[in-house]
Amino acid sequence: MIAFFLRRLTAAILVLAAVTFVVFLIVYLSPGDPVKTLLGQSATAEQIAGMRARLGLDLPFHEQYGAWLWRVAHGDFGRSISTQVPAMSILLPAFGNTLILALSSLFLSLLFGIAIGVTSGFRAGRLLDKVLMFFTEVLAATPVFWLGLILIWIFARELGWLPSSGMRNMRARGSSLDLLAHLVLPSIAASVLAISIIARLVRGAVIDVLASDYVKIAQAAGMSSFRIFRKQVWRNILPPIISVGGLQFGTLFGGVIFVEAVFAWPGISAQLFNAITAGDVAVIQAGVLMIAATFVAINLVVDMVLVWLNPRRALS
Amino acid sequence: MTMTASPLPAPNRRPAFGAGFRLGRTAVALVVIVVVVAAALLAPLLAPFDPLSGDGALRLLPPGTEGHLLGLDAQGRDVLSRLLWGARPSLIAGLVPVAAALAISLVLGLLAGYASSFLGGLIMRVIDALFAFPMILFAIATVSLLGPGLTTIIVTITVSLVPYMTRIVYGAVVGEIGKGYLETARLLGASRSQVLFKELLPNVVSPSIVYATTLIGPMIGFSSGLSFLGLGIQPPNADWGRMTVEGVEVFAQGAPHVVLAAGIAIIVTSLAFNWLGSGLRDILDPQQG
Repeated sequence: MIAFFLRRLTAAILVLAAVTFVVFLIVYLSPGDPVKTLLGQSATAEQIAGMRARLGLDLPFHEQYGAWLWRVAHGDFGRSISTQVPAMSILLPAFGNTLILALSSLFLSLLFGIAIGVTSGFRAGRLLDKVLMFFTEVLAATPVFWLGLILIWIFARELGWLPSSGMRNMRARGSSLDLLAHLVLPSIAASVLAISIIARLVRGAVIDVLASDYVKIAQAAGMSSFRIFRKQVWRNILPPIISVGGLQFGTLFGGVIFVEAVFAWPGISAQLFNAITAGDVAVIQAGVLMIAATFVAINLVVDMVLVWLNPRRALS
Repeated sequence: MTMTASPLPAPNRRPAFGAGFRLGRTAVALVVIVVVVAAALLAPLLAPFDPLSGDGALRLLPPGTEGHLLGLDAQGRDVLSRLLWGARPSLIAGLVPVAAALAISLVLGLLAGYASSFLGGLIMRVIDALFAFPMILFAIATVSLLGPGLTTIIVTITVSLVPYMTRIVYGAVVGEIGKGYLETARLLGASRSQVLFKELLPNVVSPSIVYATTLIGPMIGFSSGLSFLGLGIQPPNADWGRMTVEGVEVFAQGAPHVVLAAGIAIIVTSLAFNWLGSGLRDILDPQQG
């Protein structure tokens, strides 16, 4: 177990190292000169050269990369080139907001995904199963941003039940009920694809377990469906749920950008988007690295939980 | 890092519907796809109006207005005409990157699974690193390098699909190697390249094509999302994602028909490709079904 953990940790660190390289390379290659943006059109060639030297932008690629990596390793992600605020103090609050949205979407995905999957699995081949599976297929084909707009139309504009955008109402500052109301629609929009994937996966797993000999024996012995579910099915569908749930959580971080755009959620993608429009190199690098690191960390945790549930996995 | 599943919609493991029904469904899907592709190809002939110029006096008139089956948008342009023309970039964004990624992944997956273990290990580790990149970050990076447009969409989706598809191809290659018939062919005197192209490739291609087909629908949706964010098709041209953006602006004015038309086009087309994918799996790759 510990050897497995160390192996995975090494792999994760190597992946992150590769990510830092790619992040730096992309920003290095991208057009647009941050110095010119900074100094404005009227800057003289000497001023530009002086600023480049001061920022270390005249050094060769490997030296720039090395210097950046050294600072990042020491927790210094640089400052925003436009506002001079440290990149992390821009990104961390936004990251927190994205985390709130991602966690509540994960909760909805698991809740509805498992509920639909288990219901469908127990009713396999019946009308209810067919209706539910058709429903998940349509959900999977629906673009997230489009669904978000339709939800806003129905629940915010027409019915007026829920707020259409943002995270907090100015008047109800800090109220958790207000935050919850703002969370409902974006969380639903962000979770539909995951609901459809988890539902189909759980359904398959339930059908497999129900077809197994030990469940047939339990049924023959008169065990109720609920007890069979609790004693047999649940334990067997948990590992695939954890692995897909973890993966979905990772993709939610990258994928919520559509939802954040539709609902004006003040998350990390909004900051990343602003940074790209402004050519704000330090914020772009730190933001991309943050998302990738979260993704890698989630996968590491998911792997560990799966091995903990079934130690034989560590051998493969 | 092992990933046990892809974040893209996985095909149904246990179909909810009987074989006859699913065959019928595949037929429906094929008909829908043929109709959509034909509509895109024949847009210049079919579209009743110019998709780019409108009549301001008719702006936002609802579906059913005389001569305008699906109504008019905020600039008085015919929604049906824009929908027909918009099918072109939307279909291209779904089909071209998936085909390109399939070709690249077949090469990479075969190399990784069948070439030297050093090269194979290297390829798969790079693929692992690419997995740590959410798709949308690729999109943003590509936009900052290439600028927005259809090319950006195609490059972005191709690059982001390669890791997923290479995994599938690699898995299929390793599975086939385990079956032992490749050894037999080698012992019977077949050259390495004969084994690769005559024995291995045909068995790897069909599961890969099945997987690729299931990606077309989600990629049509994803590409329209990129246009929605402003990273894709630029106005006045429109794919279905761009139409959604324009529809949003008039949403509040009580004219949801632009958004609805674009969204339904995306959903129906995606669903058709997804159904085609599961139909193809039934035919080409029955063990998986």
